[in-house]
Amino acid sequence: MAGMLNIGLTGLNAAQMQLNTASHNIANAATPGYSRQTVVQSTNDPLFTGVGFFGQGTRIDTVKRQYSEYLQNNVLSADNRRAEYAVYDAQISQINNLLADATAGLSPALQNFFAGVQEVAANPNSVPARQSLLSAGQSFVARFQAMDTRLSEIRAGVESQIASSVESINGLANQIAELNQRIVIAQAAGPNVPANDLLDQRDAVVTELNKLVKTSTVIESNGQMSVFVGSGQALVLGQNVNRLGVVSTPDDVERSGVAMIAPNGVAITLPENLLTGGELGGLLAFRRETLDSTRDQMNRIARQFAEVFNDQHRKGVTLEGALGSDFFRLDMVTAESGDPALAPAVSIANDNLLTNDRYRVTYDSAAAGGYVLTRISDGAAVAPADVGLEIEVPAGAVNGSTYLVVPLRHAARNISVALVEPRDVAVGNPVSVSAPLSNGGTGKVDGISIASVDALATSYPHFASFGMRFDAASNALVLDAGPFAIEPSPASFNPATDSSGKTFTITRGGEPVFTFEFSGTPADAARFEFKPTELGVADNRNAVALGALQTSKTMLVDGAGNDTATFQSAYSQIVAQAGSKGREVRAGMQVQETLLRQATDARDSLSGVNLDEEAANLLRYQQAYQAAGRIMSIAQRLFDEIVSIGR
Amino acid sequence: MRISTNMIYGKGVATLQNQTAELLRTQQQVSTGRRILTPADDPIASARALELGQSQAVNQQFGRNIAYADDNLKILEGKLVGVGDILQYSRERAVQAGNGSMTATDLGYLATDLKSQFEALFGLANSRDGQGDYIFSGFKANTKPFEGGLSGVQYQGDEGGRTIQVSASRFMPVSLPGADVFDRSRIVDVNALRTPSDDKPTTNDALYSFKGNNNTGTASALQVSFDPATVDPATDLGKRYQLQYSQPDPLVDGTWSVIMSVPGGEAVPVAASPNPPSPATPTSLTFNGITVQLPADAPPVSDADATPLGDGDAFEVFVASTKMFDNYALFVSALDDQGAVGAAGGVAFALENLDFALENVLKVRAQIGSQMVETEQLQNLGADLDLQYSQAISRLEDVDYAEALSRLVQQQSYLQAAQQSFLRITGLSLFNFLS
Repeated sequence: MAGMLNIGLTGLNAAQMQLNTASHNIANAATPGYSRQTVVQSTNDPLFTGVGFFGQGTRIDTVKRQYSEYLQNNVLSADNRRAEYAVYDAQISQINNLLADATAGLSPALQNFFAGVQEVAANPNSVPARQSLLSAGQSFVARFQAMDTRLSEIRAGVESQIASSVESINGLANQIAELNQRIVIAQAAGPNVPANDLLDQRDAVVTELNKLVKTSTVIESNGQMSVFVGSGQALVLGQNVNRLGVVSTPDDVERSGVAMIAPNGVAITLPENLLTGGELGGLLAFRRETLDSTRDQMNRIARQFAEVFNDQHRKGVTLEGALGSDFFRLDMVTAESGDPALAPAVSIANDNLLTNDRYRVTYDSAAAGGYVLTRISDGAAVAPADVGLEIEVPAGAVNGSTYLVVPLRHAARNISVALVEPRDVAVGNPVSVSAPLSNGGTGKVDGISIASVDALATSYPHFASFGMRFDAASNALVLDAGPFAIEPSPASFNPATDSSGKTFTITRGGEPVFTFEFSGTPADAARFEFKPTELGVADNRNAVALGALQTSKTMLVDGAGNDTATFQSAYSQIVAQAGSKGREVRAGMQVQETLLRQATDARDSLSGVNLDEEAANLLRYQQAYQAAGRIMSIAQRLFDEIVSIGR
Repeated sequence: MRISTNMIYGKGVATLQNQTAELLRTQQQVSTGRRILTPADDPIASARALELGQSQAVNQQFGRNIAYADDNLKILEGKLVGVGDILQYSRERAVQAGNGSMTATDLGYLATDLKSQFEALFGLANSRDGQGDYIFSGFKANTKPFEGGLSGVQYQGDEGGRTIQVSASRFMPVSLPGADVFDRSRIVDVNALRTPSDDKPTTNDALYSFKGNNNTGTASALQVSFDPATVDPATDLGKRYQLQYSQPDPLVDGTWSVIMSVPGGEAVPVAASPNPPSPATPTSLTFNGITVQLPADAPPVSDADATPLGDGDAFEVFVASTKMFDNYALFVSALDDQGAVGAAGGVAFALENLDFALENVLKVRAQIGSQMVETEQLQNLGADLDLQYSQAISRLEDVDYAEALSRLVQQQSYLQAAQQSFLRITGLSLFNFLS
């Protein structure tokens, strides 16, 4: 009887605990990160009697949570990648919307500007047309600035999100350390008493952490979890936390990097390629791949546009007859310790190689070219050709003077229109040709195109007129004696074969000044005189050349040194790149979402609560409880029987 | 496999969200009419549409340029038609002047008429466009191209021609320097030589020689040639000379005098070499770059004999100029100030040189005409291209409404099915049956 009573009691207790656990499961069915708990029941040690072992009922060994670390890790890595793609997708769609907007993108501004140029080409003498070109230039640079502002806003958003992710990581790391401490205390009772709920909580925190950055975890023998990020840097070691912090990168105040702060306060910057996955990895990858690239390409267009347009503009003459000055202002060189008047002449040789870095030119007469070029961010010496620049040191350079060269950074922000006076728009061409009426034959000089204005004076007259005659005896064009020479030398022109046109170059001191095309069949001694254009207010040759820049290839030099893209195609390339990356990221996100769902399903099929199953358990253990209770009442009746015998 | 309750809810909600997102996207496409809502939807098509948009805008810009070019060419054409009309009228007057029955007074009236035609021509050459720029001064649009008058016209402009870009590779000239129309109306090559004939006794096409109407001598028109040593094309062209032989005594050799007509003014004497041409009778005279062969005079055999040269015989020499104005002024002076030679030489000179001038104007008009044909063709081509670009962009960007609307209906029904099935499945629970 006593045995039966005890046995019934054990059954009752066991059924009660099963019912408790089933209720616990039902109550926590919707708790995030909860793993279903089951009770492990086993038989009590049997009693040995002379005739065999008699069972002594049941006991509860432990409450086990249905948890598989393998399945959980699958879910974590899928979620980590999904979070990375999701944040990348959210950021890149901002860029896509900015770039491809039909009215707010760069294309309409570009087209309007060149429409203004063509207007001036059609009405070169009209001051209102020139004024409207200046206004179109203002709105063009304003568009650059607006896009740069928007990109800066996106960048600021990314930087602040990086900072807040780092804050969240630190907070979650602290929580893990605290839970580690409580788990150690709770599990001090022994290895078979896992603190299930605390473990679930810690796993939930790790899941949240994994959404932010890719981590790897190790459970130590005392139940504490250590968390590692990157290539093995410890974020949480037992109950000690190493904080992450945000530091600014050298030479770029706006850009922040992530550093691990050691206990003694020293911040060690983590390289970006170690922080992958999660929101932090996604933000860093977005910034590194898309944001930086888009910003650099926009800056490249701004820089190259200013260079090319200014170059052509300087080859023209204004309404006053002076050589044109810069149309756009976009300084590349600032004086640091040197004299601004002795600044080096820096031009873009290969726009494809330009980077966002800043450089320093130090004059050194012992070095090749008379200068040393160093990159400021790492102090390394670079060759100008490697970074797409061409540098010339002026005469009278002082050793040790330093100048800053910033080819690309902030170009779209800083570009502005330098001209104020509409009369200063350089629409004409400084060189004109005239032929006396007595010329026989049909020889004609056409298509004068300026190669360089270095040899010409700034104001009228830009050079002394010189003549050229056609010599039928040698079938060549001969220049009058003077500082100018013609190339190729001798300038042979055979009217029989070359009458459709042949190009010649006029040089001074070996440097080309301008080229022209000679066509027709000239008579012997036909003369042509090259003179500076005088009062040429209706001369639109330079405006036509400026207008032709819209459709000619001026950007993205290839390996052979040829330009491969117009301004519009270079912009379209930016749009296409951002669009493709956005598509790739979106597809990746959808794939990861599917993978996450599959991994979650696999985990839930082990760890998730099924209410129907729990309801069935409730019924089952209710009956078990009733049956055990019935055992005890029967044991009591048996005892009453025995006692009534003695009465 | 074991299903947890969370999975049922989770999957159901996720499906509902996906269906709703798809439905929303289709609705956006339908309401904006665009298939591509962001470049990430179709990056290649987005980039291509941007490029096509640029090409279309450039094409439209070229269309505007073609319209500008057309306007300029029409103005030029109009002016040149005016010039041609004046020249044609002048030619008719020249023919009229050649009528032998015209008296000096009549010729004087014709000269007055032609002087005003000269002014009209001069005015056309100096015409301005709507913005006040001179049309025929090349690049110097603020400088009056032709200065002067009957006594001489100088071209003040330059030889530049404006071009306008009407297509990616075609830069169409839309202006002419006045020199091409008015100063190069004929070719004058002082070095060219030809054999003189009886009716053209000069060695160069630009030289004309006539004998006077009232000559008593038998000599025919003098043979004239350019003097290669002294001729200067800049100053010696566009001149009219009268050479007069005066022989008061038929037995004594006479003397020659040379005067040069000044259109609109008095004739001036010209110093000739050898100078003075007396007492010996020279065989040739050289002045101002031309050499005139003088016929030898023979004494009369009898009283009734006609000698080669008689007293008062006059001969006329014209030196044509490349400039239309100079030649025209010479014609006017031939009518106005006939001198001893009469107007017949002037008429012959005028007819030939007006023809040259007209030919030049027609040549320029033909060039402008063919350019205008070209602009029309370019305009048609541009309109076609614009349509093609629009179609290509539409094909890339615009939504196909039939497909989108049927997709919308389909997704609506999917969403409804998802919602109803979700309700049903989540309603199934064992707890419903526990009392």
